[in-house]
Amino acid sequence: MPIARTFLDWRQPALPAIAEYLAGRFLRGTTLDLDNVVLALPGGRAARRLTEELVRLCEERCLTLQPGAHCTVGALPEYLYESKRPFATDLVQQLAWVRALKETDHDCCRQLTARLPDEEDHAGWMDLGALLQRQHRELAADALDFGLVAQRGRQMPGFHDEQRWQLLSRIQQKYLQILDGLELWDLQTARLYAIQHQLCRTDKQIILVATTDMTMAMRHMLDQVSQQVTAIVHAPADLADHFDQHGCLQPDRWLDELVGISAQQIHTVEGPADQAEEVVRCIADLDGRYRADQIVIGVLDEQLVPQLLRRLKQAHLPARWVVGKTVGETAPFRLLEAAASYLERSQYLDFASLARHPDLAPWLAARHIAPDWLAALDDYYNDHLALRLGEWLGQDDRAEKLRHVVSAIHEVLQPLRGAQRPLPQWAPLIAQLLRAFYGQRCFDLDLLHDQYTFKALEHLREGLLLQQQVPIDIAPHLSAAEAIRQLLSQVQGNQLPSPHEDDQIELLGWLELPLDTAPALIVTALNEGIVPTSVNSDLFLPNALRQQLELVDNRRRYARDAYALSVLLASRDELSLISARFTADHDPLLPSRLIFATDPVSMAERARHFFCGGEQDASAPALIHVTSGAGEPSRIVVPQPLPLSTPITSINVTAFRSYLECPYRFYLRHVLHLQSIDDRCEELGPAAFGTLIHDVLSAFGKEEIHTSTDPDKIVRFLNHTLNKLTTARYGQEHLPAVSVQLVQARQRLQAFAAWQAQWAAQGWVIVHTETSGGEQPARLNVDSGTSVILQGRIDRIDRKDDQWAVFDYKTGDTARSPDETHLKSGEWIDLQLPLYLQLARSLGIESVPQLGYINLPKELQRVGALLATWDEEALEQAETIALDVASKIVAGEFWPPTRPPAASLTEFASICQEHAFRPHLEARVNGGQA
Amino acid sequence: MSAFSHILIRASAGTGKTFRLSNRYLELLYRDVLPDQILATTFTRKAAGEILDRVVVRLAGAALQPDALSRLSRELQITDLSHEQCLNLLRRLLTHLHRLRVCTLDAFFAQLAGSFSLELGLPPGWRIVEELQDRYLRREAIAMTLQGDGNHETQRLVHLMAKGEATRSISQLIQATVDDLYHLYLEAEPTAWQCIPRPPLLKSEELVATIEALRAAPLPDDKRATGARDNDLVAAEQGDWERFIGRGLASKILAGERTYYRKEIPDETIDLYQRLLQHARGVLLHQMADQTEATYQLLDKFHVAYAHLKQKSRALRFDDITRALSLGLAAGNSAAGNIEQQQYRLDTAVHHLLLDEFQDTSLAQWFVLRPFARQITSADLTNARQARGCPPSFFCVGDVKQAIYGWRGGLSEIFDALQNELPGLADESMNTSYRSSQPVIDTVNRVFAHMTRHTNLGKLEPGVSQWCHGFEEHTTAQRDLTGYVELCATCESNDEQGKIGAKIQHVACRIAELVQAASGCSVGVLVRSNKVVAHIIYELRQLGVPASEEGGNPLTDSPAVQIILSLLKLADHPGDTVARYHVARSPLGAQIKYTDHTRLEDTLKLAHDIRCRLLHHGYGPPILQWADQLAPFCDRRDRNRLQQLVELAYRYQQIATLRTTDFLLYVESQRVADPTTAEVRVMTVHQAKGLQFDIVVLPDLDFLLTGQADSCVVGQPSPTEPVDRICLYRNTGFQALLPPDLQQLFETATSRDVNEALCVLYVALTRAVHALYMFVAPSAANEKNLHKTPAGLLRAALTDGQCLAPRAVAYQCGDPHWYTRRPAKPATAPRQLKQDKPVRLAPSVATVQLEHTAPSQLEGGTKVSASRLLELDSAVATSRGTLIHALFEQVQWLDESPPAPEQLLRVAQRLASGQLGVDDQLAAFHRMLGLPEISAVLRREFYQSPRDAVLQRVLGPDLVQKKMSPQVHNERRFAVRDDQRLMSGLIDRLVLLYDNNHLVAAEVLDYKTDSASADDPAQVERLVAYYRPQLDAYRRAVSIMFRLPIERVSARLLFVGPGIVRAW
Ligand code: SF4
Repeated sequence: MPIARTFLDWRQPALPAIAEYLAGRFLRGTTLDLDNVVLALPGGRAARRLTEELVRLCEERCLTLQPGAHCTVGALPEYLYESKRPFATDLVQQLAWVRALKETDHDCCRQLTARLPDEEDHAGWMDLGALLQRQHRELAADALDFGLVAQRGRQMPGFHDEQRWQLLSRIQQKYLQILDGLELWDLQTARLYAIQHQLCRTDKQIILVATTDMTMAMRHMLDQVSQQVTAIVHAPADLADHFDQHGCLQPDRWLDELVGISAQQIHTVEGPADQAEEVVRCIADLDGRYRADQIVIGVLDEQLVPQLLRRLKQAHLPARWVVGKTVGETAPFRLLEAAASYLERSQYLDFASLARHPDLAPWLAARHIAPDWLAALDDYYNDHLALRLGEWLGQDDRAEKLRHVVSAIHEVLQPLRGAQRPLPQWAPLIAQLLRAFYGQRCFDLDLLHDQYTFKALEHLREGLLLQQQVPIDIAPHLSAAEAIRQLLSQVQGNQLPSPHEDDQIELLGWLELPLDTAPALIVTALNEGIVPTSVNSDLFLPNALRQQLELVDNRRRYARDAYALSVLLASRDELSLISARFTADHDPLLPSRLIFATDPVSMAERARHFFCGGEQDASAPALIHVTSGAGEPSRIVVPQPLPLSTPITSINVTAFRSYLECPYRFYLRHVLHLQSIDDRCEELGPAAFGTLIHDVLSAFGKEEIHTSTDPDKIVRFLNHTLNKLTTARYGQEHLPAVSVQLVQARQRLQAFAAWQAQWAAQGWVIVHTETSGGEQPARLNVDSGTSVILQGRIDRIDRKDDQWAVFDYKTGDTARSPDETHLKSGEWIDLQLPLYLQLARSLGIESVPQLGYINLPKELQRVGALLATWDEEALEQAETIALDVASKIVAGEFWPPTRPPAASLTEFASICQEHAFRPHLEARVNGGQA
Repeated sequence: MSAFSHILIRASAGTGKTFRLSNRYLELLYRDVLPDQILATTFTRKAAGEILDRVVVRLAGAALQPDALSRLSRELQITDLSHEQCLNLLRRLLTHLHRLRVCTLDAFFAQLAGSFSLELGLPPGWRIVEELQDRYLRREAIAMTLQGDGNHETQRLVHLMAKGEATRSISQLIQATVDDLYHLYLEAEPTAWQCIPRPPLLKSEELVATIEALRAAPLPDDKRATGARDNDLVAAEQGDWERFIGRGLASKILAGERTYYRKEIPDETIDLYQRLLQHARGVLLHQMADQTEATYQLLDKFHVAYAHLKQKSRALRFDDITRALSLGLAAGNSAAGNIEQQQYRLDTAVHHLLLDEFQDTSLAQWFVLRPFARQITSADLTNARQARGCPPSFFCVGDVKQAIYGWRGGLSEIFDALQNELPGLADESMNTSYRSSQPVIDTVNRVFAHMTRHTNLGKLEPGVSQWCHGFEEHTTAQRDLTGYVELCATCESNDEQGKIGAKIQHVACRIAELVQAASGCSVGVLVRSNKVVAHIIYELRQLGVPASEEGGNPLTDSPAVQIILSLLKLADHPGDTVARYHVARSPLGAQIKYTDHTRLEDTLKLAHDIRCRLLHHGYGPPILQWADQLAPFCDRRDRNRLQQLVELAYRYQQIATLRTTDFLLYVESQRVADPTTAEVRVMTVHQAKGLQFDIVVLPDLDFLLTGQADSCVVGQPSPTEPVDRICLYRNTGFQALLPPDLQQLFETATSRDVNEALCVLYVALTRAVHALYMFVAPSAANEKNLHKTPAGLLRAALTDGQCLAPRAVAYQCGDPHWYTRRPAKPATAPRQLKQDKPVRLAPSVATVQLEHTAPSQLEGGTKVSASRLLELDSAVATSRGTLIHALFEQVQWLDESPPAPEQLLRVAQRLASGQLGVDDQLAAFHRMLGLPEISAVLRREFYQSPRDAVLQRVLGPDLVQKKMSPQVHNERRFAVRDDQRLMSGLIDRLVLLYDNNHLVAAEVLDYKTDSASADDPAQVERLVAYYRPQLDAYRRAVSIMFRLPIERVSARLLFVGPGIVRAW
């Protein structure tokens, strides 16, 4: 007896009609008794909606509802036969595939892939396993195994993969043997077994609700219980020939079927934002005839969801997309992800990420760690460029504070360190980690983000349970990081539903639409490749082979969508279809073929309209809705300096250069002491590199050895000092680049030693090292009465007889002379060395010393002293300028910023609007300059 | 049916190559070729889209309108074309939309690679990597390279690469090397890095002797000679050979001169110098060879690390795919290399190739395409297919004059070599423009015919000559079009910075005038870099000229965006006082209540809140909110930029990390255009390719033809063979030391640069329909020669290089008032803004859709702790739980019909996996059944005349006296409306109590397998409290379903392990 088919006309929505049908058929007294009924529906949402319809119907008629079982078509088979053994979970299946692959001769495997993953590349193997698992599933669903593909493919002209499928078939056998050994069943194979041995039976009534596309295996099973099965087809009875005996679509019938879209229903727009805009416009066009819950937006391309939600929110339209979040977007997921990276590599950067996870802060606070440790972490890294944390360098209390943070985190991660273990053994330890962070927290499920976090934890728990259940025989041996990653990959895509509130416009996926009941529907992204989809090339199952094997092919895909659209057209009061010309990246999109399933002239008109509209509308719809006040000119300005709270009484000699470059930036750097922080440097920056060499040289100047004329001795001392300093500052284990940099530094010091020995041989002696002047500070007398203290530190002062030389060490890559750095086109731009004269004077050096640099540049031939050539007049000029600068500084003149921007004060680019073409400056508060 | 000729078309600008290509496409369709057999490729998705647009629109037009039909039949030379035929062709095309192969080469390759991933050794699940992520991968690979081997090898290599210098920044050095040379590493043979000769050196004693001999050698009779020689000697002694060859007598002699300040250099001295120069050459070449080989080795190490990381992260670049394919195809016996295999996996054979913009094809791309092309053009295959329909065809169109993508790997030389590669290719040139007016074309002809009059080209001369030599004279079909061309000078200014600013202001004013005079005309302002684009836009907007900015710069050029970025910076680095100050003193600071940058505590809290928001809500919504708050303070451009930031934020979400500064890097890495529908569009010449404008303005012509030298030069045996020689860049003096064939490479490189610069100029000039305005800097006061710039070339060609005063017009052609004579254009109606209707909804009524809950979700209530949730029971316990439930499900009334053993066994077998022994579990189950509290409540007698306190309470004083008839339902489903919720679920065990067929009460039973213990009553109570909300919900459901008052429904928890029962 064939399956009974019942047609319900598609001019009304399916679900109420089906409820009515069930009420007619299964009413027992005052009970609508579905206890003995299994309803198979295309998706979970439809099942829930049908239940609603049934509840409503029973309420209206005062009936008692005894619900039956319902399931998706995919799960129906398990109602039809009795399994004899437990099924292997997805994870176990995948692992079994991996095992099967690994046990296959590797030379053979090369037929399959040119590159097998490395033995330790667990994720790589799992990907490969998943790939085979997918093929296996799809084929088994259509009652095929790999061997059959090889066999049937042979009958197809142009089939080229026979050997490959035979190999795959061998792997498949192995896979099944492995599961067998574990006394588990492969779900798909179990079904095939049931079919082959005619084991399908049921005492329930099976109702197929609008399941218009079923796999071969499903059909075979239903055939074995056909007396018990009714297929409800949502279509007018006169289209009966468009459906087969299972109530499924006859693809060929639909290929040429005209889909009656009218021209007004098609809305062609440009990009994603325009789609969102158009949706709102379409809702406006409904003129308030519908409530929010009577309007549904069809989301064919999920990437559009954020745009839509944003736009609807701006229009004050309440809306909901089923998926609130995926597990991958939730806090616990991100925490585990960061923890895995840190476990894997233990490097600073991974720690820095983990440490910034917001859920760490409360956890640390609970351990009485003050919240300022994050800033301390940055500073610590920048001072010590630690590749890893744990070797505590420097002795300030900052390190102490960090030590607490780090050890707290290390402690909680401790159980996850160590050697590889079988996967199931990690699960409790990972759970323990999660419990450490989330166990104490009280989640308020009325708060949305708490809800998501909690649900994510549930998913993670489920994932861990699956891991735990992996039979030890096929459990891979992994590190904790790999086990965590494995867990994350299992749950990442899982969706967490968003909460349902009254009276919302729902955003629904394409598959949900046919069985939805809202009278007004706006479908977005009706574009080819989205609806209908198609497979136009494939690694295993190209379309031709699919056709040959009667798998889902492009015809069936088209038919499904043509039918779905026909249902929507027939059953909705209002239907708008939006298709876009461009993606978010401005790549062209194609219109859905369904739009052209119409009479020839309309087809041509629509084609012309879509393809020639290409005027890229650039004035994109506004994302930001400005309410008031916007306009030219911008009121985003460079802020004026505020009046000084305390007078400035001292200036560093090096700061004069900054002031000359830009008074405003001087203010930011030297008055406000603003500093920019980053922790991405991968090596010693110019400053750190310079300081290191400076410190070595300073130590040199302070030791006996400084009089030596033996370059080798000097080198030995410098190297020794360098090593000592580096170990103290940068520890034992350096960033990779730093080690090489130290070699470079050593080379420069070596060249220095050669120069120094010669210099000393000439009779020069180092008299002062790192001096900031005499007891009495050097002062600049700004004007009558006021003076500022000059601060500065001279690297070294040398003497030979009655000659003096004041030196500054320079470690930039290129050697530059004092003249080059202090003067530009004859103008003083730096006053450092001339001002050293003042400092030197305070040390009692009366004769005018020579001023110069000792350069240690990358070109080693150029290591050595370069002296300034300024005469007295020039130096006087410099002093005058210094006085001028100082008096301006004391007077608080820091405005306006210089343009073009100062080369050495780049950290203020954003404040000073350097990247804008003309910065907007704040107007003087009291008139003044602008 | 006759075959199409295999053809190569050289189509000059504006001559209608897309038209020709669409012709070929239409002809093929007409000959019943299926669309999926035609592969039409180009380089941008936009261009691919345009090809398809052209095909469809022409066909649809012809299907609908008689004149379009006759035009099409004329153009295709098909006399009997009818509307019906067009409709049929269109129908066929549209029903094959999903099968169309009109795409970019990259897209086609990606599809091909996707079908052979495994065979090509690509990681399963690979994807195309985002630029930024690729940069991270590279950085990581560099770190791995440096870390490699305890560093010694790397140190050696770095030392050699830095030519012995002690450079500070190692990562930068390697980064730069990788950025510049990694692509070459991939393209070239390893031996290409070993082409620097290593000539013999003087032995050290020979060297000393030679130096000493030179010290004593006679010198030319000039005072300066001694000093020069002494310097040379010092350099030689110090081994500073670069300095040695760079100056003094040595450099003269190296240059082949025999005199010094016109005084003869004695032969003996020359000889000595020659020997030293030989040695110098040797040393320097050794150094160079070392450097080159070290570079290769370092790149090789980098490659290993990088490839490993890419494999691991499944992240590939398009060029990885192209290379994998070209390697795969090269191995002809592999699956990927087998054409038939390809056809099978792509579901069709590519029988017709239509290649657009062929000059931009790279060598690697050509290697992939070549087998297709060869197959199509090779004769015997043609025969084989002849039987069925239209024979295969090859069509390729391009223009070497428009090869402006050299830096992207485009190799226009392939175009010229194509005829050798594919014998039997017909060749055709198209030089008649359908775009430009006569004056424009005349000017183009003149420029490229006469630019060799530039007298100061020096070594650029061969390149320029060669280009001009290849130029064929253009004509135009648009002779009636009014037109005008002008070359004029901008205003003058002294300093560099000001110069550019003043020049751009000047040009902007001229554009403003033009827009006013020639209203309705499209204006393209074409420049070299995106930075200039933005600058011009800025000036135009100052003048009130709306302009569209295309191409784009990072959003960091907006002060408003910068504020938000500072806020994010602060979230990552609360210690960053620059960011703190920036935010605190901005309008945003006031809105988010952060106005004092000095307060660390506030900052820490703000930083935490921001990171929390970004994690929970994603980047989009918070950034949108901040943008909204800033918008009222912004001008138009800033507002646009904020919008674009919001868009980026939404897009970024997929790759978001825990570090907000990663988003900053992302923003900096993204160029975002600010396009509008304005008539004036400002863009780089590269972006203008394929476009045309009524008016073209070129304000940016004063730049050197050969810009920054590449870090190396390369040689190939022929254009279609891989690189076989690589030579790091050296200055001219050094080049003289190289063997001639390597010197030749430098010349070739220069010619290539010149060629590309001229292509850019050509493209720029030929975008104009009516008019072309070119702006160049005026002559400097001391100008002696023309500069080696496009401006210099234009002045040479158009004005014979006369001196050029500020603002002077140096060249004119056509009618300066051309716009007054242009045919009235139908004014393009300003795009009708659709009236924004108010959005209204009907008032809501009581809910129609119900929220669904399942009582099991209610475990623990709404304030919950996760600690229990994260208490993983052992795996065994979990599956045991399921099994025990299933077994209890078999129990009806224990006292009447205990479950059949075979049935229990079946259930156990189905559910008991590995660790769970079937027998053990059954034994455990029977033990549970034996527990007195449990077995009691599973009996009918328990309910018949209840002595249980809870049941007695439920039944109340009247009923308790009566004898009940209980009914049991296992796994009972329900679905009821509970207030606004739809509650549905499954009850483990439901007992209904009837009094005379009248339902009077019910009890809900729930089995729990928690490992509770009778010894710990507190724990039991906690568990009861935990499950209570769930059971109460069941009670409610039962009460609604059976219309029983809630007091008549009791709940009973069965902890089956310890045998504890609790009821209420
Ligand atoms: S609602 Fe959003 S911003 Fe507010 S606390 Fe929760 S996650 Fe943070």
